[in-house]
Amino acid sequence: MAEVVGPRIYSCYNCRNHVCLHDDIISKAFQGRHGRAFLFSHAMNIVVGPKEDRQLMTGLHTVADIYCGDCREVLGWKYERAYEETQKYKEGKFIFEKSKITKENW
Amino acid sequence: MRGADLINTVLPDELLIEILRRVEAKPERDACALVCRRWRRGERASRRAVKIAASGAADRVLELVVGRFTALADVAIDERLPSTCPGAAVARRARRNSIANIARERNMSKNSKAEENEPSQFCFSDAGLATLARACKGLERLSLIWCSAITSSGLVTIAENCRNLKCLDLQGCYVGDQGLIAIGQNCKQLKAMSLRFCEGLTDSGLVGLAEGCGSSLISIGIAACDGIREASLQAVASHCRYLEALSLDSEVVKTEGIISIAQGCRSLKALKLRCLDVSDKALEAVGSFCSSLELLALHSFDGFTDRCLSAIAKGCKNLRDLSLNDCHLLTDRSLELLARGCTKLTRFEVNGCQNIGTSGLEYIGRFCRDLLELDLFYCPRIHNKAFLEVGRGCPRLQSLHLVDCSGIDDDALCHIAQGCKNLRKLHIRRCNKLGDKGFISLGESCKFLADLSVQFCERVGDEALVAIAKGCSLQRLNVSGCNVITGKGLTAVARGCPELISLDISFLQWMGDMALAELSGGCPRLRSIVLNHSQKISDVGLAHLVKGCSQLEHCDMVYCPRITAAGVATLISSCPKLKKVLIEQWKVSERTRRRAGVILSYLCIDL
Repeated sequence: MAEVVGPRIYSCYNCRNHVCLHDDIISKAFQGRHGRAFLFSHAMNIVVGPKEDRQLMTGLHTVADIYCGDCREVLGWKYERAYEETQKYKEGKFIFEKSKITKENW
Repeated sequence: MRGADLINTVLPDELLIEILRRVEAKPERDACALVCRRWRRGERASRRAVKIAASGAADRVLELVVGRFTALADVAIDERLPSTCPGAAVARRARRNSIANIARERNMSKNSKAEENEPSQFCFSDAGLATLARACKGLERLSLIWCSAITSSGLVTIAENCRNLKCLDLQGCYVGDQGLIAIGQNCKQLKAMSLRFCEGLTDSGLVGLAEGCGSSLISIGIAACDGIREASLQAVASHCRYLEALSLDSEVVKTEGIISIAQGCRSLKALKLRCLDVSDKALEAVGSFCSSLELLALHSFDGFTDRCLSAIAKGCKNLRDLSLNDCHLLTDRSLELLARGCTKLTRFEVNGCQNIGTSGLEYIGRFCRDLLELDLFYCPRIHNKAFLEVGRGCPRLQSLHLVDCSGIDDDALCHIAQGCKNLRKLHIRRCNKLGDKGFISLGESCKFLADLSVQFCERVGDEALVAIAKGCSLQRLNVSGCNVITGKGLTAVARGCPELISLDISFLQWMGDMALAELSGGCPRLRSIVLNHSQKISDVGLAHLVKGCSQLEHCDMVYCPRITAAGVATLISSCPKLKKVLIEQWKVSERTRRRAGVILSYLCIDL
């Protein structure tokens, strides 16, 4: 029978590096560059790139691209600052594009 | 045919069926079924296990399957399996049409998968379960994975008809308590039960099950079923006296529940817990009452301190397999007590326990002579000295797995090489202080090393591979992401490891076609190769590879800019045993797709 116990991990689809946990998902209703994306409260084994200002669908934000720690593939971005009150909740959180992550054995 | 086999003609049907029953692997059974009509009849009468996709016209597919295979005892219906049966093709077309209609109505321009809008007739339902129940009265194992249309009534029908049921696995099904109660009342031989993401279940279901099948249940697994709480565990404790294995992943279960399990199920051999609200007292009870415990796995136990491991060390002297994940409060002190108390330990895993360091591992090395497998994930506080003790104290070590151990360098591997001559499997990832020196020692001492994986360790280079190839006959090798490795290292492997079956050289920017030519000459048994993100490998290299490696079954080669459709075609036409190829969709010519469409998997995004 399948392994019942243990955290549900997502890995980088390229090199199977563990990058985030299913339990850290805040929202599944985001749009990334290549389709659907999820908002996570935590990320691991990633590298955060330089900050830049970007005009996203929800307004102006300061974001930094996040890269897989091993293979350096761009997996999404981190919200550094949001300039509208309604978007402040995103600060410090991570967006992972659904097509760049894969479930690890679950 | 002249000189034809004589035995086939005199073998009676019952004996033929007995022989075919012992053929276990599905490809081999399928091959037997193609020999002649009599063998096909025999194979159909003897097949025990089948897996069916839950999406598509699954009810109809099941009806056909149970009509054809009359001796089924093990049925798995899984939504994750692709539905490729002919009935499903009809359903797929109908679904595509209905999706097209919905898309037109909603004026969507993107080609999205509208799985949420799928009508329920397009997945496995209670009607299918009823068909299964009536046709397979001897059913012994049933798995229903993400069958969202199944309800209690389907499970009740199974319970009433399949009284020999031994093993039930429900994942992501909205079954209610009535179903489990019926199983408890009817299936008195149930040995194993697994419930995962079953949101419709509450305590009364599991209590009913425990009361009914308590004396036969040996293994229970519960995960993410928030309706299952203390009352269920108390019922398990009172009725399942012979329980040997319990896996529990729950945010609502409390300490008292685990204590009652420990008191009631004294034959417990395997315990896996991921419960956020449980404290030391639970494991103290396990230590006091469950002296037969052989396997213990603890996840995310922030309520745990050294007290719990000292209780285990005192009471569970038969412990063989211990796994500690994210237990942040455990320190080296408890490892000392554990090592002294549980000297029969054969497998030890530590994952992210930040307060465990060098001295803790030293104790394990000193006292656990029978250690076979050691797994250390994210242990930055473990240094080389610990491996000196492991090398000295654990001569039987066969498998070592190190990920993110930034505190160790070559000396650690040298220590292991000196003492653990029986090492067969070594997996390392992101231990960036490792260079070639450690591997040179391993190549000199560990002659039985067969499975080596070194991923994303930037300083491991060709010299390491040369030394390993000289001393060990590798069967599996993975060096993805070790950027300084070039063709020289791989040539050494090709010449020194003729038994190589599986190779991963992805993310190596200096690996070129010459390496594939060497592989072709040296490793004829190669079955699986991963070449993703290779900048220099081209069609020429592939052409060389297929000359010698004709046994190739699996090849991944996405993001290789110099591989083109011609190379893909060469690979497919030269390797008759290919089962799976991962490649960009636009690199597959129409002719290749016609020839080999079924084994091709495409990169899921076209950037």
